[in-house]
Amino acid sequence: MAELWQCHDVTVHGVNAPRLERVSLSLRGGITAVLGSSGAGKSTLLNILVGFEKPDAGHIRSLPGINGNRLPVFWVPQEEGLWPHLTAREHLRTAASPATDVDPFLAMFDLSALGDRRPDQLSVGERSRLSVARALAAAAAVLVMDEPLAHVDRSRADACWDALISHVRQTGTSLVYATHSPCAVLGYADRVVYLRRGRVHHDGTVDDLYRHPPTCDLAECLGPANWFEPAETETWLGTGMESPVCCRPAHTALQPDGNAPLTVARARFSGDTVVAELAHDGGATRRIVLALRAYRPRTGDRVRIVVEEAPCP
Amino acid sequence: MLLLVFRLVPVAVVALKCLPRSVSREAVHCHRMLRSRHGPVLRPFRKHGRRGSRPSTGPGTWRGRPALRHALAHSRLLLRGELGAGLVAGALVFLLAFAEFEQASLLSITHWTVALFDAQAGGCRLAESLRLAAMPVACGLLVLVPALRILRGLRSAPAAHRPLPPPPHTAFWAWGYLALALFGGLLLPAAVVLRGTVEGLAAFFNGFSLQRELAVSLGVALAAAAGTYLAVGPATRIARGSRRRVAYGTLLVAACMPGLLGALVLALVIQYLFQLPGLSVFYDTPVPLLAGFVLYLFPFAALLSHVLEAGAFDAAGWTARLLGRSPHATVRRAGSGLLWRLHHRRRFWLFGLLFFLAYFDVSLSSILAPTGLPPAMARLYNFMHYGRSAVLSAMLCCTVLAAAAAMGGLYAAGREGVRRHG
Repeated sequence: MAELWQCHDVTVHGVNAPRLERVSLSLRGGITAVLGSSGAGKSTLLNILVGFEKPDAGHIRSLPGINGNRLPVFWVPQEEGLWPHLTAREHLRTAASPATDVDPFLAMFDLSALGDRRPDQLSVGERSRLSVARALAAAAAVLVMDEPLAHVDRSRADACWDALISHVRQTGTSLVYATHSPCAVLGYADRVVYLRRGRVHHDGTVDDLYRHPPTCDLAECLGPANWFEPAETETWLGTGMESPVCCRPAHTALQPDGNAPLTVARARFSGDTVVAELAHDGGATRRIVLALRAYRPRTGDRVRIVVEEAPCP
Repeated sequence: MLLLVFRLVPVAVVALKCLPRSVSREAVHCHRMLRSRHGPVLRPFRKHGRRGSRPSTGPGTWRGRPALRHALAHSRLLLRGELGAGLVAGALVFLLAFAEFEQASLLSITHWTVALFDAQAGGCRLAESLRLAAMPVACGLLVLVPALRILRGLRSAPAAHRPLPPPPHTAFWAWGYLALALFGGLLLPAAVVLRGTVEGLAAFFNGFSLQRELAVSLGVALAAAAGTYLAVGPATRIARGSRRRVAYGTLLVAACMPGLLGALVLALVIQYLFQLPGLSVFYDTPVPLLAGFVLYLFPFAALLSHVLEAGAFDAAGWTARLLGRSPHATVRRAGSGLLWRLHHRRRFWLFGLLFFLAYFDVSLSSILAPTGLPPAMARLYNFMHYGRSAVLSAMLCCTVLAAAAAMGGLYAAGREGVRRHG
């Protein structure tokens, strides 16, 4: 995939701490998620990509890959950025090329019945959908979206995400979007940039980050993970390892074993997963997250941890 | 008084509409809900509870402090929302009303500007005039400084602009006021002033010449508006964005002070300054008049510019700008149209307001205009003291139409310029 932007040592000052600090990365075409907790600098990075903000230091270069006969870039800001005097249909007509029929875009996001309403007559979720629909209608080569569909109700959100991603793939559009939801990364993105306190902690494929996270923090940014430092592996897994072990809940199980040195101190069921507090006979304790299976650990059970897939790295 | 109300209510409405709010009504309500935890503010001591109840102990015995703290925190919150916007709009209206001179003078109302003018006309020395003006200036500052301070805290927050449904009977009162204002503030005065205009026009075109004065007025007003606009834009941006806000804020307030002297005192000071050796080369040129206008308009422009900067270029404006890079001319034009509507138009109206304030000013023009270049309003004002006449009506009509035509032309040119060049 062609490179879209190159950031070199980009810094943006904040009130108490930098919002972005010496960020250097290159963003490629395809679908890239910018992941991080609130205040990590996701919105600032996206604002800089679209030119809404300027870096205080460093520079950013748009690469020729995003030029052509399409609108180079369009944006879905966090606060939707809708034009207050236009109706939903007029928003799409304004952004789309003259020959484009905008009704399919309205239908795609379940807005057909709301085409004649202005933003102040729409709910937050409807405005979210309209902002994404407008971006698709703009037919830009690159779309930058800041937490798109964040306010859309759960029952609609999946369908809207599917519509967005399939449109983006069909039209060969590149998408860069910010989110703090692991599901929105795992389900749709090719690459992920993980930001923490204004710094880039990871830039690579989603699969790589999911399967081979370099640190515990990075492992947990894509959902629950059981992380064992080399020194802990002998205690908890029964085998000493030279590198850390990371196992996702789906690949981790507890097996009842009367001779094992581990005891279930407490177990909490939370839908698809079980969170178990384990105590080692030697006095150490730790938490472990498991997928729900036939065996349900109970307080006082003697168990051993089974890693069902070759752990990474 | 009613005339002043008709003039200032639109200013207040526009300010209230345009001023940003950092705090949503929901946020204010959430904070208000916490009040019940602290009890009423005016109950500072409750050491022993009610008669017959057991004496209360522990940290809850002093009920006043948390309640007072909450009330203060709530006030601070309100200052970043509706209350803050209301106070800033009120400050703007106050400053306009406080500096009023021409209307008060024509209607013989006792006002500090009129008293100062009378004192000056009676032979008062400049130092004495300045001493007389000190108290009004202090009053103006007492309003301006807190207003600018509040304005700095008002930032546009998306959720904070969601309007509530208006209270009942709002439409009745609003339409009632509009009808009254339309009749009392526009139609009735227009009927009186324009009576006999047609006959007056004939006499005016036969015997009088106002073209030269109109051209001077338009040129001076455009230059004054442009000068003030150019001066105030960077100044407010620096004061708002810089890390040394206090220093720049102080400089900004200092720059506002000459304007708060009032047009009359300011004109006298400038006239005096341009008679001093270093500046006397500019005496009897348009420079003192333009300098006077820039200083006079600066406080209003600073306040309004703060409003524009606070609520201005947001995500909606930037999405419109992004459309300007489309390969389709229609989309580019639509983007430029949106940019004009969302961003440039409000700047144009700031420029327009400064233009009208300069164009219709009498005091500065009368004192500082160079010999042989009298602005139209100064001439009309002199005629007005002799009572209304058909020719005067015709001249006034031409003066107003010339300003409206100039602004209309600039509006069209600005919109077309933005449409073509983004």
